[in-house]
Amino acid sequence: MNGLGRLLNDAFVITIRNPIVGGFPRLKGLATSVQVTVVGTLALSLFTVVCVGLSGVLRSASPLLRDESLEAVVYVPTIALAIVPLLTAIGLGVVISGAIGAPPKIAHPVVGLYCLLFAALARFCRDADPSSRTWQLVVALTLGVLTTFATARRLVAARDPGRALVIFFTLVKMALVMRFLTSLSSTAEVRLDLAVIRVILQAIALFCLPVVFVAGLDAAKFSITVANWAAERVSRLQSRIAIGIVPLGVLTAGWAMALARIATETSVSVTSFGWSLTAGLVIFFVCWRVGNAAARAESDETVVRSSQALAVRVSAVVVAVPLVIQALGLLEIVIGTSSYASRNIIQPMSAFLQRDTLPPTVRALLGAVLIILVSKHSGNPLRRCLLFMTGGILVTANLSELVSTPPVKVGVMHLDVIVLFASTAYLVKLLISRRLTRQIALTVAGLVVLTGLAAQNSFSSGPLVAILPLGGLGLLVFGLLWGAFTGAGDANESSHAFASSSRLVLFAGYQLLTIAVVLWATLLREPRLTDQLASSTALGVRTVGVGLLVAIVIGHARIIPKSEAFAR
Amino acid sequence: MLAWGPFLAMVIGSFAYWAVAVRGVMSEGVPSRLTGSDSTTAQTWMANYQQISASGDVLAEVSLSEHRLPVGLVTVTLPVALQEWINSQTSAIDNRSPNFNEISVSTLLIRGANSVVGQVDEFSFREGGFSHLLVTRFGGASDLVYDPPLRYPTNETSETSWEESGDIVGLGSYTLRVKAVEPTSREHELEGQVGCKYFEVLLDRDFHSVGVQTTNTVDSYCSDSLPVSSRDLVSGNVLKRLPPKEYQRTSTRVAATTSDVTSLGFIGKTVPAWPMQVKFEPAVDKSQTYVFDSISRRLVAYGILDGLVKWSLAISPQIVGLCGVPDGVVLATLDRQVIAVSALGELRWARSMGDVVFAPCGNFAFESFSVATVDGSITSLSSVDGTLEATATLGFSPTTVVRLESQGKWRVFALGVGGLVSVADDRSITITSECPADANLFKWSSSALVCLKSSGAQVFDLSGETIERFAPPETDLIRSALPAQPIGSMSVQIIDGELCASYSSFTQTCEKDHAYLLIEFRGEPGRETQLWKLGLGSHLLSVGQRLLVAVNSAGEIWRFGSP
Repeated sequence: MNGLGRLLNDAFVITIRNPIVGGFPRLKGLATSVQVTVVGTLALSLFTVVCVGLSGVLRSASPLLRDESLEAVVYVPTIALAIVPLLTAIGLGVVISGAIGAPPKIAHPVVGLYCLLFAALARFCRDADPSSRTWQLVVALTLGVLTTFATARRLVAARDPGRALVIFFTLVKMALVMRFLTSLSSTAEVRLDLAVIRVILQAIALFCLPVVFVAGLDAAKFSITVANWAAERVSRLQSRIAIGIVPLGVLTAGWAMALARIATETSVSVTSFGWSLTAGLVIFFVCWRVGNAAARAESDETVVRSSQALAVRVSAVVVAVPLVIQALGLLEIVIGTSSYASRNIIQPMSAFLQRDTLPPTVRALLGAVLIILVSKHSGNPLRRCLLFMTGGILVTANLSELVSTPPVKVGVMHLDVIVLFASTAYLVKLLISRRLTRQIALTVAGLVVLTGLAAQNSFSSGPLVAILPLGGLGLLVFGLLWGAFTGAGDANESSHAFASSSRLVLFAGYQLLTIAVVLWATLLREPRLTDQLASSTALGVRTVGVGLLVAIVIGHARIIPKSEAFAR
Repeated sequence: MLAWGPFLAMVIGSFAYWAVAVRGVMSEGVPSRLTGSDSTTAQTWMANYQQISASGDVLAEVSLSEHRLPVGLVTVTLPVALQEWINSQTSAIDNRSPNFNEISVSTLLIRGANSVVGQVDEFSFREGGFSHLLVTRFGGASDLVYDPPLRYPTNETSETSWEESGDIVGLGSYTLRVKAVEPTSREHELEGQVGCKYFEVLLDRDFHSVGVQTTNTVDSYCSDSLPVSSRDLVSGNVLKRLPPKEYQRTSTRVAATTSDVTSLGFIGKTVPAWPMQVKFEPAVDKSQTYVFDSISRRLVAYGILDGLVKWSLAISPQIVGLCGVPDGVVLATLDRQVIAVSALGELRWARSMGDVVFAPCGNFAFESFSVATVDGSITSLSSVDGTLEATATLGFSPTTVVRLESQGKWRVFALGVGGLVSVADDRSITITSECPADANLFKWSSSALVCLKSSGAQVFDLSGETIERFAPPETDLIRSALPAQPIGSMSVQIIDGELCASYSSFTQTCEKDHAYLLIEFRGEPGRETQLWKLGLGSHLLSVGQRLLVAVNSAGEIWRFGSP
């Protein structure tokens, strides 16, 4: 019993306490205004997550509205129309207040998108009733926000009131727009407020996709930490009986599960599985060579941190195309869909960007760039390993999509098979040459446990799946929640150009915006938005998440005495 | 204090937002102009009556319904001159007052020997407790306008007698005499009803063309707003309320196979009686087509062979979809209900569901049908009494739902973010991993289904087994045949003018932005192909066993059948 208690305590410390201690937003020493903004926004995010969890109850207690303004018909509970725009307005206000202290390369795009959103809202209001004052008020308040923003950027003394003012103005603008559109809706056949807020949230959802992508990695990080903890427990076993039995048991169980998965996978397509496995083998082998120099002392934490930095950059490129399309769409609304510029400049650009081949091309190119970076840069071998694996997965998956061969998607499952095969071969080789020690057997068993656990479905669906029946969104909600408490690693950093106060406020604001979009998707039960969010989360898991796992696996494999390395 | 500024801005701003915007959203809810009053529910708007002669013979069965609709929605079904007259009468009234902008619609369906023999619609304008009959329509053929409106009694009337006269616009004049009376015999008193008032109503109508017509009735008004009993003093006929009908479950019909349909002939076309807007896919049962008109919010039943209007009903909860069952139609409503209406226009049953129902019900040959809800469940119900037969939770909101049926067995397939999940009549749930969420799902025949995905196409049968696979080069052929619905060996499909023009033989006839109905042999494009122009707008299709009905968005109906 004492043993079990210690085990659970150990599990808690490693899988939950340490990540939170390392990644929780560090508020000490920051200005009170920043502290209250971050804490208030995170609390609101937590409240929103609770609403997501209770979305079924909230929806069934609320009268429904039918909306067919976008392609698919949705049934919108009035509660969603009441609270989601409010949460969105707070999120937008917090983000814009966070951008006050950010360097221009962050602040300018944020302000640009903010103005685009409210310009689109003003245009909607003007189109609905040109004689009304609402759109003029929205434009005036947006100019007010811009003025405040510019002043607060220059005058440090004006920052606190500036932050307060932009948040307040944003809320007032959203209130005016919603009030105006709702009042029109009571006399019109179409619910204008609903139609407009759907367009706006669709846009915000795309702007939040990088956060969603990183949330996928956050969820994967948790699964990897858990699997890693279990693996380390196995390799540190002391009892003599356990040392004899555990490696054999682990290998048998690993093979049994892997074979079952191979059977399901090959029943769909043998060629697809074959190609994915081959590609996985090649990438893994190169990774192994790249990671060869990994020092024993190198901790997993550095890799985890670099994976996070990588995820932010990768996500920005991965979602670049839909993001630009969305921004163009908003611009089209602002200048009018039938205007000259819309028809001759924006629409052809959108048509070009909407070609199916463009996103895979961009992603494949990104993968290629990552691989090139690996060869150019020396530096932390495990970080290079992470770069190479992520790049390799991106290149193979997207190239195969471009040439429309069977999909080559290297995943955790293929990795598990490769590690199992290599481990078995290695152990057999050592056994034959009578060089197998108990310690090596246990370390290898630990590796098999690590990949085997990661290959379980929970790795790709997150621990919330059992509690919240949210379809594909469970992983995202968990990732966002986990990210809110542990993902502030980079945001906690501070530099002269980009102070942590500003980073943390931006981080909290984006979290809130994203969770508000998730709440909208779950309350509406909107399949398209849900799919978009869930697939971006899954992309984060599949690319950087798998890359991180490989880096950790290789880091651990290096613990096996160098002379016995099996990949020679 | 200044440091708390951002936080205070969030709090005060939220309160301001709540006060300004949210209360509006919550109180507006469903805008009243679109839905009418919520006080009438599906359960209350129908009652059954029998018309009994003086000698006690049953002359006809009558069902009477009442529901309130906004003025605009009622008048839109009337001739233009009449609309203008009503608008001029009502424009003087402060229409922002909740009592005024509503017209109560009473529908009488009179049936002799179980068939509809006539229909009377009364549109009355309510002002306080008084009911003013504005217009009386008889079967939509002759519309009479009374100026000033007929002042009929209601259960809230405090006066004991009045007399009024006026014009029947363009046709003659009228005199209305109303007198409160004591019930003269037992037959006027209704069992279980208290506080009833009885009025003798004498209406003389002097038409220029045919002379004086007199109707003389004793009407009873109890707690209901409609007369609960009416005795015609001239002929002695009595209209009497009956207890609600009970429906007996009949034996299960076996689905007819449609494989012998080898040609589809044009039967006829019906033009709607009033300007309609058809947004939802119509439904068919074995004898009727059901169309829901979104303007007048009426469900209209047409005979499938003669194309005549059998009856129409104004529905109070907002309708979001309909589908045919063996003897009638099932309506899905925005307030998460499923309502079954019989082929005679009577409410059979209503059932509350967990969420809005949006999926098609399947073939009307079965006495069980399946519905999918937006929150991700598939439920199978008996069309006879609405009892639950099977239900399964999907865990995701389905995007496409297809029901396959063969030889008394059925299986419902739902595709969504969770992949392809199917539920069978024995309540077993199967997850098919081979059809991913981004695939498209099509019904190939009544017992086969095609999953079209990026890596090819796959055909599943009723048991969920794969019966055929197609690799990418062949997939294009399959894809071109997929949007069509099967009816026997024929394939029917609605195509737009652009696609129509790509058929070389039809180049001359195709117009852009118009929809066409294409009928051809399944898998044999070009062979004895028929093409019918359906007109503008989105066009909907409903397929029965041997009959095909195409309805355009203006409510025009084309009927086709196999000999």
